[in-house]
Amino acid sequence: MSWVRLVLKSLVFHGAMNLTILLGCAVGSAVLVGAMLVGDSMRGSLRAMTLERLGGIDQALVTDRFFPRDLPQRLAENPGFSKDFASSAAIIFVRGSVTAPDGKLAAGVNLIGTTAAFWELFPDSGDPEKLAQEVVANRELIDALSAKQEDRLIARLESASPIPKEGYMGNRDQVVKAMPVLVGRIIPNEGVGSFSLEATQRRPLNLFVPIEMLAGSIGQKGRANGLFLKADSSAGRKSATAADTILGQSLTLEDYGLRIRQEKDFRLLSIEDRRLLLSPPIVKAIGQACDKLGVTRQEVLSYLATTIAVDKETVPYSIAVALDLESSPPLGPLLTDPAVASIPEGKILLNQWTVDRLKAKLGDIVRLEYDVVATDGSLQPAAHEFELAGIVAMKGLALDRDFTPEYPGITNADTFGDWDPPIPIDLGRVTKADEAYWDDYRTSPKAFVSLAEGQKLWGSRFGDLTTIRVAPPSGASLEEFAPRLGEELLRSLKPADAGMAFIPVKSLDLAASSGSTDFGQLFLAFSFFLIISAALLVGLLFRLGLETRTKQIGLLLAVGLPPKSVSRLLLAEGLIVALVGTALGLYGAVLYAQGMIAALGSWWQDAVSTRFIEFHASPLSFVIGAVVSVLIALFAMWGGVRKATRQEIPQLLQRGILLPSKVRQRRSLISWGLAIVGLLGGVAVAFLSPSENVGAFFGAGGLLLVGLLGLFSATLGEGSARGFRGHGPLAYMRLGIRNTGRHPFRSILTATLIALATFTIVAVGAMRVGGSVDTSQKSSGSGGFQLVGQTSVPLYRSLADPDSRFDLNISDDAETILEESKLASFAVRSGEDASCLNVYQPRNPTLLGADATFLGRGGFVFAGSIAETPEEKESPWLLLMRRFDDGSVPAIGDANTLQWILKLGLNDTLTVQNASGEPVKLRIVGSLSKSIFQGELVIGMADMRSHFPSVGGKSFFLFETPPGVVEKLGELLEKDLSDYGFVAQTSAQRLADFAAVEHTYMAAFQTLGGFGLLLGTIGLGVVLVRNVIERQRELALLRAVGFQPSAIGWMVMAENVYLLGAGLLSGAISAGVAVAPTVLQVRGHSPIPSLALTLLAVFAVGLVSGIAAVAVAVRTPILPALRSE
Amino acid sequence: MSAEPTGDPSETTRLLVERVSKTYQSATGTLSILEEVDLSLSGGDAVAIMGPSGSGKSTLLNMLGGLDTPTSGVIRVNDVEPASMGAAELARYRNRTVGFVFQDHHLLPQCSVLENVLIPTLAGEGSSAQTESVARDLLSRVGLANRLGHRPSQLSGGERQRVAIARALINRPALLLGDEPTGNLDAQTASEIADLLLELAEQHQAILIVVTHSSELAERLPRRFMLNAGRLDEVQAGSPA
Repeated sequence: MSWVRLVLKSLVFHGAMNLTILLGCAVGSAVLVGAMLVGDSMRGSLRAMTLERLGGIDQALVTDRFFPRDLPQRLAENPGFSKDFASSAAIIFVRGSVTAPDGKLAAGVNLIGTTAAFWELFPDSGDPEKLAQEVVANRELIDALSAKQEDRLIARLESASPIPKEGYMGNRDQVVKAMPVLVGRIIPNEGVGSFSLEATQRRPLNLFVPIEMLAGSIGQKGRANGLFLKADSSAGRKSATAADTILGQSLTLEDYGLRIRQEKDFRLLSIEDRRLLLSPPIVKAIGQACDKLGVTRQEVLSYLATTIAVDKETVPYSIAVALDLESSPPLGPLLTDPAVASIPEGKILLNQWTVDRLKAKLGDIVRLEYDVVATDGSLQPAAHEFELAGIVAMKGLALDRDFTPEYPGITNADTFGDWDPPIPIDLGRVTKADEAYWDDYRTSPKAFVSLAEGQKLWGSRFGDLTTIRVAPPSGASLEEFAPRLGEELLRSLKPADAGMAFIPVKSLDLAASSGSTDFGQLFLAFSFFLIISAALLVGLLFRLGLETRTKQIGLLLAVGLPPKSVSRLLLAEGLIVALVGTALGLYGAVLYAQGMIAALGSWWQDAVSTRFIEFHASPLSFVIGAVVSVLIALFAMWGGVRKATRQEIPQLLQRGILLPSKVRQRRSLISWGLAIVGLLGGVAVAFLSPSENVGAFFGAGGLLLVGLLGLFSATLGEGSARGFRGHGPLAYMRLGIRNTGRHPFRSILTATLIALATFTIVAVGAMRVGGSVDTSQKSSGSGGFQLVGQTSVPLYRSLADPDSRFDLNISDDAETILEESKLASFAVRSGEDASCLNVYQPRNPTLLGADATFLGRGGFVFAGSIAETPEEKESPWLLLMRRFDDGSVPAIGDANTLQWILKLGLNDTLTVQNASGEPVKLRIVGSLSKSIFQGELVIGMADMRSHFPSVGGKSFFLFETPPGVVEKLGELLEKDLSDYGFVAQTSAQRLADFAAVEHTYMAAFQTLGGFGLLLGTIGLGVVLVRNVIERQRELALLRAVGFQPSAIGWMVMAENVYLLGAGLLSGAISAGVAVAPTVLQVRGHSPIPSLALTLLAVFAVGLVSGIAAVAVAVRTPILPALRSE
Repeated sequence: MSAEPTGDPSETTRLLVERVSKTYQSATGTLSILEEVDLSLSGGDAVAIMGPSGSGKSTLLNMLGGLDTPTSGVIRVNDVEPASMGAAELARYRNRTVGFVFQDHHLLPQCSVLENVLIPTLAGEGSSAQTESVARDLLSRVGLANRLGHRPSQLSGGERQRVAIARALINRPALLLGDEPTGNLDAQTASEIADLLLELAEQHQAILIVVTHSSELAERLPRRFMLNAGRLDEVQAGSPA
């Protein structure tokens, strides 16, 4: 005889009971491991999607600064390239809209200008050379347009002028370029068809076009704005450092958009930018280069004055420059009368020609009129008055036309009449004298002000210098010095200075494929009650098993086996059952996970727009899940074993497990304690919490559940001293109810199982019954805006301004509605969708820039904020105007997005990168409750302009319309602004889309609650049957003395109903408190009727448990039962 | 000093019960079961303890067997007090010093006759060829040599009790305690069991204490005690039980 033999013999002998425990363990491990496999599947699916959509692309660079297309060749020639990289490809990557022949529009289309090198990054796509010559559309786009091969489509995209559209000379009107294409090939959505740089599971709309075709349509022939690298080493894949280093060594001034102009007449060099304004990082680099070379430089801001006026005399359209005067050649001097060494603030110098035209004299007030860029990007007229401090002679540097960089439509015009600047001009104001000046002096400046004052008046977010003039060292020729300056400048410049930075896109997206939500954890949370229920059931069944063996346990103890050995013996038996059950559960886990994935695929498809999740399993999940499952099962068993082996041996030998009186008293005290603490705590939390605080109410509900179960526990067996009263069914039922006190632990466990399942089902059921939100209310998730519009191409004209609407060709019908509507427009820094609709973990969420009008308007419901002042508390939107010492940018987001997706709280910071790859720290200052801003973070417009200067125009719009015209306005604007790819969605629909994901989770949760109920019912059934079997003799005696079988039935069913009712009521009442804020907020349909039906269904299912017990009770023959032990 | 048998016949087991009382606290007050009970026995003694139901017979037996502790007084076996032992030591005491025969045989239904006898050996190093030989010998002596592989469910009541006696003796206990060992048996079988107990106790030089209602069984034992109202008095030979 040995321990092992004894354990094995016991296992077999108690096979039936062990089988039930084994099944309980199997259910527990199936649910636990299955939940982890759902997480594996989500991660694995996103990972597979990432690898598929990025093909061979490891590093990506997409910039708004177009560069010569031979850059990949130059990169490849870099000696360091082959160490870390295998190949590179230049592309053009822009967003736009595409229209089908029947006018059907697809917005948000990726327009990709491809070369053979791009297609080679996707080896399975076909012949790269051939594909690079074709227009290729993916199936998603074709389906969206209901188009077919050979169809002629019109792609509309934003023009790509080097000069920012919101810059001074930016072209705000000819923004959209149309590009007709003939679809040559349709590719599936898989492989290269899924190509996207955005980490999202949504299928992209892709149109691949030969790069030259796309470049030509946007005026960027021979150029590209994107660069992809295929890595050949781990360093090349994981970090952008190597790529950025090679890029920095390979870039030319042309790539940076810079040029060095040799002014031979004045023997100086001018450094200019294709973008017109030199950005601060580039100015800094030029300064460093000049300092290294030991040469003098002069910074100049050249600007177009629409008018120079003295009294009533005016001169139109003149170049004014801001600079600090230099005294030494070649940067000076400027010959003035009287001679001035510098231009003080408030003073101006005019050239002799202008002074003559204006009949001005020293000391006169000179009024300068010009247009400036307002914060909303529009041009606004402005003026400033100066005192005439000097007259510049029409000779020497004063005649230098190259103070002014190339202004498109101006500097290349032969006559004034040929001027075609991208800003409005009135050629009627131009006189013959002006024409003559143009003929003689062209862009030679007419006015000179100090650099500081000029920058103050005319600087913008794009920069405040147009030219840096450099004096070569003495003795050096321009031809000789210009290349030296260029080389030094390239050494000082970094690619990021021009907004060029590689991103290790594959490595980052693979990291993001862990998901915005850990689905393993989420489903573990969903399955929590189910796992607890399975553990309780295992504990209950094991305990019932032990109770049949108490005499054996007593014997083992009596013959001197130490309690620890007996415990180990029983636990060893349990361990084997748990191991086998868990192993069986692993198969179940695969089925469970596959079932959940299938369910998500159907429930979720509408919410996340595609069925993307496929089964993946990690061995680690099986191992961890199995170990945890076995430990949970052992823990559940350990309680029973501990209790059994601590009993007094004589008692075990004679009467089985009975709680010692001290333990009974302690249990009663604990029960009452739990009841009082739980009930009082629950009620207190519920009453003291703010009505919308869902978390607090769930806490209160949980406490109440504990309290009510404590109350049930405390009152079990209370009637035992009362004796019997009455007769008939009521008396039988009282007897039945009293039986629940015989084995309090069984009864409590059973009621707890039912209560947990009920709590889950009712709580989730109530939350699923989402009411409709009145989106016209300012204090709602829509902020009172009923319509949301987004464009693929930004609008550089204000939709709020009637004149701009006229320019945008808004129809009369739409105009009528817009006149009675209010709207808010936002600049958009494209990033990732941060809402629950995107399953990837966003690292760089989309940012919306809100203007002061929107911030001042208020509205929406705030879940929290860091507001301090009464004004901020009144409208926390004002917090977006705050300035923080650490330079962080205040941001507001949706509470759900912040909490669940971005994992941020108030005052937390999130670091994102701007176009130059520089970190920008966002500080969360407020959170919105269930808002339409679930996919984005909102920042102030001023911050948007200063930290993301390349973001131009407005692409996101909110409309507050009169009643009944919401959909109509959306339809009209989609038509009127189709060139811009305008897509409208009602706020109600937007909120419903977000809620759809929540409802999916709820459906999953509720289903698992249903499984929990099943376990609860099994537990209830087992306990009842067991109780009946234990009382067989007693019940047989009752029948022997004349009780009808129906009386026995009443008794057993009363016991069933009592336990079921206790669980049901505890669960329902506490769940009711937990979901009170949600239920009370629901407008329209009340969840109570459907919940009542659910509870009835739960009750009906629970009653089934009693039927088996009644059957056992009334079918057992009387005599054998009377004789039995 | 160890309470375990030494195996040396010259060392006789001594049992000393001095002024042992046992009381229980109940809702209605203190319930006194035993009051200052004294008893002194040595190896080879065989006694019967009789008394009405609830008189404390089983309580006394449980205290002697280390299953319960006295409220006051001392029980010593070979100068060792079970009541002062820790749980592990007490288990060892029950295993090595005491052999119990209960009214209900308490055989493990999943184990064979031989395995049931060997159960107590699990507290040591488990069964070995030697212990198995002892078990076979014991079973042979109780007349079950041909039933070694049978399950308890295949035995009669008397046979089951014989197995229980063999199990009680497997570790050569100093105290052989019987709690109504014939309570569930017919007269013939009860007589056989009584003979067996006496014979084996004598062979093992164990102190045999049998608690019983049965005067027939009590008559078979050399000394008899009556437990009444918490007091233990020896019944003189010839006196009515």
